[in-house]
Amino acid sequence: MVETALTRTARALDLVPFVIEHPGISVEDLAREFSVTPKQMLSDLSMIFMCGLPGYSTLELIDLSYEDGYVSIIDPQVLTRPRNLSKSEIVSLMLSLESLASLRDPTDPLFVSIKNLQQKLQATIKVPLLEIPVVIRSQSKSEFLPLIESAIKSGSGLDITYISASSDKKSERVILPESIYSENGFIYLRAWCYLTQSSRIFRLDRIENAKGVSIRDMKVLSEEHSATTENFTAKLHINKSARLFYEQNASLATLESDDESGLTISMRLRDSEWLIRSLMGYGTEIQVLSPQDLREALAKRAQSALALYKN
Amino acid sequence: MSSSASTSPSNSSNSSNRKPERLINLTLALLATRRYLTKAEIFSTVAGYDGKPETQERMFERDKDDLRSMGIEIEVGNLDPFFEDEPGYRITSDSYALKLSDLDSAEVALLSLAAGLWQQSIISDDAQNALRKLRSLGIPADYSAAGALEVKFEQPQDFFNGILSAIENRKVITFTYSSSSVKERTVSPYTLTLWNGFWYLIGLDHDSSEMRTFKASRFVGGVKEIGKANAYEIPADFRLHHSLFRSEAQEKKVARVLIRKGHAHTLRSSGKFVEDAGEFDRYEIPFESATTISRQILWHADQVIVESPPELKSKVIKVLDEVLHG
Repeated sequence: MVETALTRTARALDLVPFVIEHPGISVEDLAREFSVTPKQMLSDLSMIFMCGLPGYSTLELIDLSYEDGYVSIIDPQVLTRPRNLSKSEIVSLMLSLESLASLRDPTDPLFVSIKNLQQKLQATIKVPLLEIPVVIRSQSKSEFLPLIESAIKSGSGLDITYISASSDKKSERVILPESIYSENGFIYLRAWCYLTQSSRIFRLDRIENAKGVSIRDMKVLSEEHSATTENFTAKLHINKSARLFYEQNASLATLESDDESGLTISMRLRDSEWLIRSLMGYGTEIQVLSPQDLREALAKRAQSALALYKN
Repeated sequence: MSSSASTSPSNSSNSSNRKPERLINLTLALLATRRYLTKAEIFSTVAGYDGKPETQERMFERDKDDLRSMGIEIEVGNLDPFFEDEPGYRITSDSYALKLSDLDSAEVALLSLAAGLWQQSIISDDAQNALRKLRSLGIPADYSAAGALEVKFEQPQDFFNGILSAIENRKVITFTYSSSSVKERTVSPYTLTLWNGFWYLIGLDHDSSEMRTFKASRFVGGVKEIGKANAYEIPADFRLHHSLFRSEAQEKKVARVLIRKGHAHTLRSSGKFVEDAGEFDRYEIPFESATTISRQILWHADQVIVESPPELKSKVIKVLDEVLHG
């Protein structure tokens, strides 16, 4: 790729203050930092070495050493401080911070820190808010997120009240949180569950209550139980109007065809309960191609639901 | 270091270095001066301005534009109040340098996490550049308060930059979009939006003359700008009115349902208990989209009966019929 003179100029102006803060950095590391080849970095450094203030004697040139493979600035002339952030850099950081904040409850200390930081950034350059992409706040924020994060970091346990959607039961259980992640706008917690003696995934907005608990006396019986056996496979045909169903569950599905009539996918699951409950809401938008059992189970459940309206 | 250091910069052997070297030298000279430098002073002292006066003049005009396009502000002032026709130039370190010096270590850690969100995308390049400047401030990062949540979002696509610049310049775009059919769309883009981890474009669709939401993953290929800049205006209050941005404060419809005792806990927690109704409990559930609420209700199959509104009730019955017979 041919680089423009401006890209090189910008990189050179940013290189000098960066090296001042990272004296003795290797040419390789510096090249990686600026996403260029070591060869390009050497050529940048030798170019910078030719630049300076009017007069251009050795006293007025930018002085640096890099020939032994490690870079240090001896005299930066006036390039001591990093350049101000550009508009697109502000947009990018504002967007990123907003995305991090969107998953947090306003009572979360990190939410408050992110908002303060955004104000500082906005003060450096005024970027019209209209030009920053909008991040819609997640509806599944949980006030327990900071408690859960600190349990993960300290390796301690939690006592939670959880509503399971697929078994439709509310239960209290002690868990040892392992990791926490967001997906499709929801936050999920992976934890060892002492109630079921297995590794489970909990959706944060279904945790009704949580408090710290000492789990010193409770031992993890066996990790073997945690192996989820995906022994149920279904093949579905999805109309274009219900495409979102595939997009949101893409990690569980294999796309077999995608044409004018819609999508055909196959899904591998631990059991059929989740799928039956999900498909109930789609009617003819999603058809079960196989297995036959699944079609029958759906029809049977639809029939008993319809019976409720026939009185 | 090496003895070649004393070679005059303008004699640099590498011709592709000439332009960046001149821009760097100009930046340094304008940054170092307190008073304004005249063009004559610049041409005679800053390395790289060779050639005839007209050539120098042209070079300087282009260089000024180039530095400004990089976000470097060149101040123009008068050297002498009695000779107003002789302008001078300088760059103040106040406008040149990063002003974010009061960041703490926890904030640097937050910015690093934020900049890492977009992996290989174009948005990521800007974020990484910004982060590098921040790291040049010499503030160490402290991750102890940064949380443990791993955030996963759909990655921005290459055409996002095109959309962002079209929004900035209020330019109309066209693109191929796949929904119920694959069609060419012409849209005045209003905003890019991240919603539930997925990217959407919201804009005025020219065919229907209505506001539409387009899912980024359904774009086929890139976007193309058409027509002139400032072709439309984005109403300042459009975010208040667009349905995607509506908050809970806005008016919602309410579904009245019967929930079998001891069942449908997730539905119960999203609504309000009204009264005991024997085998069932009566609940009121606020909702915005009939499709979304009907799926939530149908998740519980024969544990929930819809009483009202009638449109929702008939929708649920219709879907159940389809499942039974389809």
